[in-house]
Amino acid sequence: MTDERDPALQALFAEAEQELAPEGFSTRVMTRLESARRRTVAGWIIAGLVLLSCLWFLAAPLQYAAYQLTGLLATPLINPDEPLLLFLLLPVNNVSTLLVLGLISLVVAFRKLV
Amino acid sequence: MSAAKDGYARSPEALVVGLARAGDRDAFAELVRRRQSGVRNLMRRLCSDVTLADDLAQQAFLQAWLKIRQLKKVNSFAGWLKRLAVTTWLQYLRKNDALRNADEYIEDAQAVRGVASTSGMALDLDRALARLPAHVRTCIVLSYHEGMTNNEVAVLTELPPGTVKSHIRRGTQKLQQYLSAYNETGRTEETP
Repeated sequence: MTDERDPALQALFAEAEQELAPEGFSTRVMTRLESARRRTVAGWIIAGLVLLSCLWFLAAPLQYAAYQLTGLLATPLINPDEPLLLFLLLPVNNVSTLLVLGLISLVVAFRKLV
Repeated sequence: MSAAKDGYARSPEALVVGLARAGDRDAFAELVRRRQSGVRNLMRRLCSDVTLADDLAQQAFLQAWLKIRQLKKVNSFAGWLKRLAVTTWLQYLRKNDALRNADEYIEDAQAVRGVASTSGMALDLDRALARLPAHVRTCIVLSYHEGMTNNEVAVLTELPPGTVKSHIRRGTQKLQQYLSAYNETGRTEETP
């Protein structure tokens, strides 16, 4: 692509360029910068307080939910009568293993399709 | 001016940029002092409104402070800052729906606002630019004021290269028409 500029216009743009005094402008920029920093800090403090309050009030229900979820994930899939077999299958004989295997299958299937 | 600030004023820009990137606010203040004129002039050409131009220039510097850690080469600060300024302008256009009548050329010769402390020639140029549609004006300013190639303008504005070329050609013709007095009388008269 060729760039064709009108020399007269180019000269006009160059001549219209003024050297602007920095004093007032620089001060305003730094003041806004300081205000923005204060707003950011205030935002983080408020977010932290909200999070802390949520954790404080929801600690008991969250703990209960985590306990229930752990119990659910550890539920055995089969209940063999033989204690030795039960012991050997223990690492894979639970809901969480089933979920992990399902997830891996989905990822493999997705990769094969895409 | 304190000794530290005086030291910044005498330091090479790459060093000051490095310090600002490390979080030194005084170093950044020095960069603002050094680069404000260029950014403000660019914004004045882009928006043809002195107050808005200064406001957008301030926003560009705020963005620069927030993003300066992303700057990889300290020597490319000036170009990076100009790109941020143009992005700030384009965001302003999108946010304020300023492109709604983007294809219209304004025939009112007194289109520029907030002209205090603007020289006659700059005022005339800003008035003429204000009559161009926003996208045409942006392409013209980036080409003539910033000296960018058409491809660079296309990348920055995210417009197709053919459109940029067309905008610059049409904008140039219009500016030649609006600023014909400068060509006829050796740039001594104002735009009619």
